[in-house]
Amino acid sequence: MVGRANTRPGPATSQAALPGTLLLAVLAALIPSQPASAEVNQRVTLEAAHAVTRGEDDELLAAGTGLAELDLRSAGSRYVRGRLQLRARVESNDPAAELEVPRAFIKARFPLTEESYFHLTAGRTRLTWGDGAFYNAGDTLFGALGENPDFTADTIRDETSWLAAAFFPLGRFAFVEPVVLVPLPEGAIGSGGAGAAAAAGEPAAAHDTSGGVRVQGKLGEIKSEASYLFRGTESYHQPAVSLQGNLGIDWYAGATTRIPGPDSRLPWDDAADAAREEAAASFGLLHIEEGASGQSLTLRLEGLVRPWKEWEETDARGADAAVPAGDTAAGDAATGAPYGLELFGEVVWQPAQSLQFYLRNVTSPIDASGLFVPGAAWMPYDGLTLSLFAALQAGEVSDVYGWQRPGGASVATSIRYVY
Amino acid sequence: MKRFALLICIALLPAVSAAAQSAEEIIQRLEANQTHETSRVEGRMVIHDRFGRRTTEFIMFARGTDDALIEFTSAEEAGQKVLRTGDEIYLYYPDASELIRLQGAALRQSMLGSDVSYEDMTGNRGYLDTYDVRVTDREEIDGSPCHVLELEATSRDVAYPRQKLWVDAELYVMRKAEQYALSGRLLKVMEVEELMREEGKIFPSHITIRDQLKQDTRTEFIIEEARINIDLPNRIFSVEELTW
Repeated sequence: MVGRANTRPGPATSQAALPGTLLLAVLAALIPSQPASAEVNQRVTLEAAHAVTRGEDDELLAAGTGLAELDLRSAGSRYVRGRLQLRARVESNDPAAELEVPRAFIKARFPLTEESYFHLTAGRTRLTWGDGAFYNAGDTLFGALGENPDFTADTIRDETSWLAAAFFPLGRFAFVEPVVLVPLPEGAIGSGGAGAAAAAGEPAAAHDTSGGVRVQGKLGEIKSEASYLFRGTESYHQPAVSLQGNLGIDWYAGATTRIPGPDSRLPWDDAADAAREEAAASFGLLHIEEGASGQSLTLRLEGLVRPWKEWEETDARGADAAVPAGDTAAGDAATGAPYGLELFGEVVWQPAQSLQFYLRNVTSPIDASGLFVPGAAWMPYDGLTLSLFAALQAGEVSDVYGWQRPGGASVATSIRYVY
Repeated sequence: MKRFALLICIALLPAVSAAAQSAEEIIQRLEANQTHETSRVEGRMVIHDRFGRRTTEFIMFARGTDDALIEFTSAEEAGQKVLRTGDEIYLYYPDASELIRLQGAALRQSMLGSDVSYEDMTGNRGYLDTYDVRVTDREEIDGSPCHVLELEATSRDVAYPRQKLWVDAELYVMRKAEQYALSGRLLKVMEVEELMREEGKIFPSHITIRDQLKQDTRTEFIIEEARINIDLPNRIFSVEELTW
C-alpha cells in the first residue's frame, strides 16, 4: 500500500500521506534499532497414552494415543516475538495423524512513553480474561465453560483462537487490552485442529467479527477486571466483571450476561429478558496448605450459577437451545445441560514435589450426577512424567453424566517427556 | 524466597575489607552492599527430593531489594515469569496469557517446587527494620572466619521470627544462614558452596537450601553468569514486561 500511494502524484495525496509519514518517522526514531535475529528456542513434547474404556453393552475397548508437539519460540529480540506450536495426534483406531496449530502468533512492542511500551499480538493464541480454573464467567472470549477440558493437566482449559490484541499499561499493575476476534466457523475454536479443518473453504462473513476490551487494575486489595465483547457471529453484547481477593483463603468471582444486538441470533426479543435469562456467575475458592516433610495440599471449589436456568431435574435436558452466557459459540460442550448450578472440585496432594495425587470432579447437583477424575503423576527426571488416571461418571443415562454411557468409565496410563 | 531475590542480592555483595564492628554495623555493611545494586543473573535451580531431581533455568533482573523479575527458561517452564515489586507478586503463564496476583495461602506455595516460597520474596525490608541483632560468636566456615549474628524479629509479619547468620569477617559475604520458627524449631538452612569473582567483586555462586521440615530435599541455586550495576529501566518491573 505504501508503494502504491507513492506512485500517485498530486498535492492532495502528498498532504494525506504527510501525517502517516511523520508518524512513521517518529516511530522510527523511537524504536531502538535491532539486529535481525534468527535465534529459536524449541520445546518438544512427546506423549503416549493407553486407555481402556467401557463401551456399549459393557464391552471393554482399548485404544492408544500418541501426541507430538513442537513449540518454536523466537528469541534474541526484546521487541519482536513469534511462536509456532505444531501438534500431531495419532490414535490406534485411526492411523491418520491429525495436525493442529494451537498457536501461531507474532508479538511486537512499541514505545508508548519514555518509560513504557505497549505491545500487539496477532495470530492464533489464547488470552485468559477473568479468573477460574474451569468455570470462568469473566471469560467472554472462550466462555464460562471450557471446550475439551483436560482434567489430567495442570491447565484444564487451553482453547485458542485467531485474534489481534493490544496491551496498553496503565501504571505498574493496571492495563487495558482491546481485542478483535476473527470470525471462526463453529468448532474451530479449541485447539486449531479438526474443527478448523472441517470448516475449510467456508470463509466467515466480515460482519461476524467480534471485538471487545478489558480493563484490569486493583480496587484496594482486590484485583478487578471489567470487560466487554460484541460477538459478531450471534450479534450480542456481553459485559463481564471479575474480582479476585483473599479472605483467609483465596477467592475469585465473575459475572456476565448477554444483550441482543441488531439481528441477534439469541432467542430473546426483549433485551431485559435476554439479560436475565443469559445471566451467569462463577465463583471459586482456593486454599493451599504447605505441610511438613515437603507435602502440600491444594483444595479448590468452583461453581457456575445460571439463576434463570433449570433448577429441577428434567429428562428433557438440552431442550433449551440457548447457549448459556459466556459459553463459546460452539455451545456447552462440557455438559450440554442448561441446569442452574454446576460445581467443580479439585484436591491435589503432593507428598513430594515430584509426586502428585489428584482428584478432580465436576458435579451437576440438580440431577445428582458427576464426573470423577482420580489420578497420580510421578516426575522422576527432568521433563519426564508418568501418569495413571481414570475418568468415572456417576448418574443415570438421562443425567448430565451417566455411568451406563459409552465412555462412562475409563482407565489410562501415559508417559510424557518434555525437552 | 525473600530468599530467591535475597540470595541473588547476597550473592552479589562486593568484597570489602574486614573490620571489627557491632552487629548493626555488620548488617549495615551487608545491606549497604546489596541495596544499591542492579543485576542480571542467569542461573539454574536444582531441586532434589526423595522421588527425583528437577532442574529449572532462569534469568533474573533485580533492582535494590524491592524489584525483581524472574523469567524461567528451561523447556517445561519456558516463558513463565514472576514479578515482585515491594509486597506485590504477580505470576504470568505464557501458554494461557494469564496474569495471576498471588495473595494469602498462595504465597506459601513453593516456587516451582523449590525449598523457597513466594512468600519469601515479599516484604524484603532491611534486617534492622524487622529484627534486633546481636553478635554472639565468631566461627570458621570452610576455613573462613565468620561473625555469627542472631536476629530476633521485632514484628510478627516476617517469615522467620528468628535467624542466625554467618557473615564472612573478611569479605562480608553470607556464608551460612539458619531460619527458625517462633517455637525455636529450625526451618531452613542455607549454605554457600562456592564463590564467584566478577569485575573485582566476590559473591556466592552456588548456594544450597535445605528445608528442615522436608525429608531428603534440598534446592541448589547456581549462578552461571552475573552482570551487576547495569542500566535497568523502570519498565522491566512492570506488568507490560511481565506479559510480554
